[in-house]
Amino acid sequence: MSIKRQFKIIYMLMKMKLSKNMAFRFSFFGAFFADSTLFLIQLFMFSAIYSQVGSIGTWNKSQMILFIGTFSIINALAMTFFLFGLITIPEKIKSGELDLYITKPIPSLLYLSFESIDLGSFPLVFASIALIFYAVSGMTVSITFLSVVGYIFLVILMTVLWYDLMVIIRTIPFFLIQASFIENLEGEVLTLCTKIPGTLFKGPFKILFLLLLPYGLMATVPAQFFSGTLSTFGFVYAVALVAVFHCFTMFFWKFGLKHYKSASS
Amino acid sequence: MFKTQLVYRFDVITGVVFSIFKILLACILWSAVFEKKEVVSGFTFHTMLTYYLITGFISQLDQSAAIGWQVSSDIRNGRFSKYMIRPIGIFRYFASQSAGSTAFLLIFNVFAAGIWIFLFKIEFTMSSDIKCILAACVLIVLGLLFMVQLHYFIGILAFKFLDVTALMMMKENIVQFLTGALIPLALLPLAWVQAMTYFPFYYISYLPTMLLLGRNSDECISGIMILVLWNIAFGIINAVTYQHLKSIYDGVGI
Amino acid sequence: MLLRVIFIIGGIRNMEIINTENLNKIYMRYEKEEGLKGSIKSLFNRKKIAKSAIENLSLTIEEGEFVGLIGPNGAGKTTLMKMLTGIIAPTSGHVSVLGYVPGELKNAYKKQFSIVMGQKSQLFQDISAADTFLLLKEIYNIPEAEYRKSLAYFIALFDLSDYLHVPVRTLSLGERMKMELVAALLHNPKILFLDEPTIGLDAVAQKQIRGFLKEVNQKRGTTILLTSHYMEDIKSLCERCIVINHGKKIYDGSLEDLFDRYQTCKTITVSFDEPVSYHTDYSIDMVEVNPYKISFMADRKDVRSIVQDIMHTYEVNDISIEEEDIGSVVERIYTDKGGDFH
Repeated sequence: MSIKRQFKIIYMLMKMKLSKNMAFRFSFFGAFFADSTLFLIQLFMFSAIYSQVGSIGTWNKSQMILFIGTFSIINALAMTFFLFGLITIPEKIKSGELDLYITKPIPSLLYLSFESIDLGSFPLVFASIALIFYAVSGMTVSITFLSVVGYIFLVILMTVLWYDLMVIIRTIPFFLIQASFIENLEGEVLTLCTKIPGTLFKGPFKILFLLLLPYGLMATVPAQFFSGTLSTFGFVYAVALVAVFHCFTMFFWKFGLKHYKSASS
Repeated sequence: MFKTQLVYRFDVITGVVFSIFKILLACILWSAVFEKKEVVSGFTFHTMLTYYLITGFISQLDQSAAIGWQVSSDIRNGRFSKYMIRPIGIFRYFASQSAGSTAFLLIFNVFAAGIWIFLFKIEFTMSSDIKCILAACVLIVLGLLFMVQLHYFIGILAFKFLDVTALMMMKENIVQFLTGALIPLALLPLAWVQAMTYFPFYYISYLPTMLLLGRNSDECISGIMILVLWNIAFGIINAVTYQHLKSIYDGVGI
Repeated sequence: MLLRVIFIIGGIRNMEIINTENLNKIYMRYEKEEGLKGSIKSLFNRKKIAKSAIENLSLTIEEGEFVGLIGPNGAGKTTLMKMLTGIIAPTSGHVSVLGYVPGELKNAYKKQFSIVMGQKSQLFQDISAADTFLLLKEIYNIPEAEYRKSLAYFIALFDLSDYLHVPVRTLSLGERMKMELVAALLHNPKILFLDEPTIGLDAVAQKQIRGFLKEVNQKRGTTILLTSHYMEDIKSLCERCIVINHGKKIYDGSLEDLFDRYQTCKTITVSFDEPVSYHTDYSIDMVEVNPYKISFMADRKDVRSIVQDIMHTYEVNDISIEEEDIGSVVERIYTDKGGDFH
């Protein structure tokens, strides 16, 4: 299926979602309010800590704010485009509603992912950019065209990584009936990895959160890149890891479909 | 009966298990901070971890968030009617449900706390001042009651706003910070902390924890009094709000 | 394979488009003992039980047919349909539809069929049906002119123009199902799979839908496979029916023959104004008897005479004659064939 057609379908899904709720009510921007408080609180938290100490690990205050801002923008992109679509997958597998997605002549994952585009989350992107500017203003690195482009590239790459991780977790219900605790686990790991940069992990946690469940990479790598503290190896590692994860995700989803049991009506 | 409770509460029990992440976060974060400094705002590395252990334990006791979700969901689906026709006070019903969950999980929470102490090799030290320990316990109970009231309040806001998900999430983020679950409030500027002492959140988790750590002992009595006042205030707020919003209720669906 | 070649050489008019050979679907279930002890045991050693949902099922359906799939609950009808549409994969055996293997889920195949399930809706609930149709137009890549023509045709047929632009959520069940059918047929599929499409609908809506399906099958040549609990659906639409019970095909042939042979009884219920003591020479099966009301089963061929008899002889308050339910009919087929179909 051509890319053009895929985009057209995504665009149509977005239009439909929008026409459903055009009123700019509180609930439309609900996600924006909820998550902006999250990042605001995180700012307070780290301001307090940095009032007592100059750096946490190798991260000074500005770098930490960049870290928070980076995660905020990845979160904003995820929520805007695919998060609300993906979280319905386990329920659809359980109820058999997935049947109607499998039988359409478009990739089922595409349909499911972009079915719930949430434009009310998009303002978070702007808020995040503001945060990033604030962080950068306190940094001494030189801002070049390359560093900005590279940063944006890595942010998009890490958003794709988050997409892959979300899909992998939600493919598991094809095989396991009681899989809701895995989503809880996902939430806990995310909370952990969004509060501390991945470089702080030591020992077995390094392997866990930088390789197997690479949530630790997500905000860390772009922030490091922009601060100039990312090694070439780190860059290549991140790109390669995302490539591998993406291929695995697509394969795993197709594998899961083959095992779909489809609840009886 | 116990078995069905087990199956039904599987998710809640995993919640206990996952409380390890809070300790893990604290451990990794603060070991990095304490590399640079021995003492931060009166905490050493181990008293800091003890702080998180106790705060984590207290927050696990609070199972009342379910009330917020349950009440708002029932109102949205029109199923709230079933509570309105029952002879039992609605608030009392939800409060006792929450208390039941807390009691049920108490054993697991204590057990888990013990495991974390062992796993993270925390040098757990607690105050031996009976007065402070008692005050802490009273505060914890009053705090749990307050959280029940708060969640109930958000729940009945669904009469007006229907979808309170965003509110619940905002509450979660803000309350976590204000109760000192993210970082000890002692790290914040003095002016902020002083302002916070007027609000209930300071007393729900932070003060009891500090008391158990042998600090802030002069705030015992004032703490209890302020939290009692807040409980009464919210009791009134809830009653008034409920009466006012009930009339908007459609009872759609049933 | 050879058989198919012979068919083609023999110049058979209709092409076979659905074909299954020795199709099997086995579900593994884990059995757990009762009680707490059982739960703990099951953590270590789970007993596997194989449940056969479809057993050795072979069938062939030709283009343009309207086939009814009947059987009691849990017989395997929906499972069969899901294998034909690729939703679930068979455990063993061959299945081919329109020359494709459904399990491969090829887009080219998906464009040529539609499935409508009575219990599930493919329409988005919060927006209008028209909006969903536009999305489907894009998904199925329907050319603009063809889309407009099809839409106009169906809207006129069902008289749905008033309901096109309101949120689907506000439509009644009957209107919703009609919209579902329109949605399913917009891209002019070669095969339409219907799983309990009239469930929960009132009699008027059911009738309208039946008429619609008939027209679609006859005028557009769409092959239709229908499962339904309502014998009215099957009787008025299908010439051929396949009976499935316990995952096995136990009858495949004309509907008329099926009823002639197996739906042998009717239930007659009579209530009287005054107490009676009912007697008859005909052989009947009493179900319920009290002075004011009797209910019994009688042979089809005797019903007319029995009823005439009763009307002449007694003061009748109310009388009703009911068809046998499909479950009993199927049971009879099953036991008659000795559990085997050959």
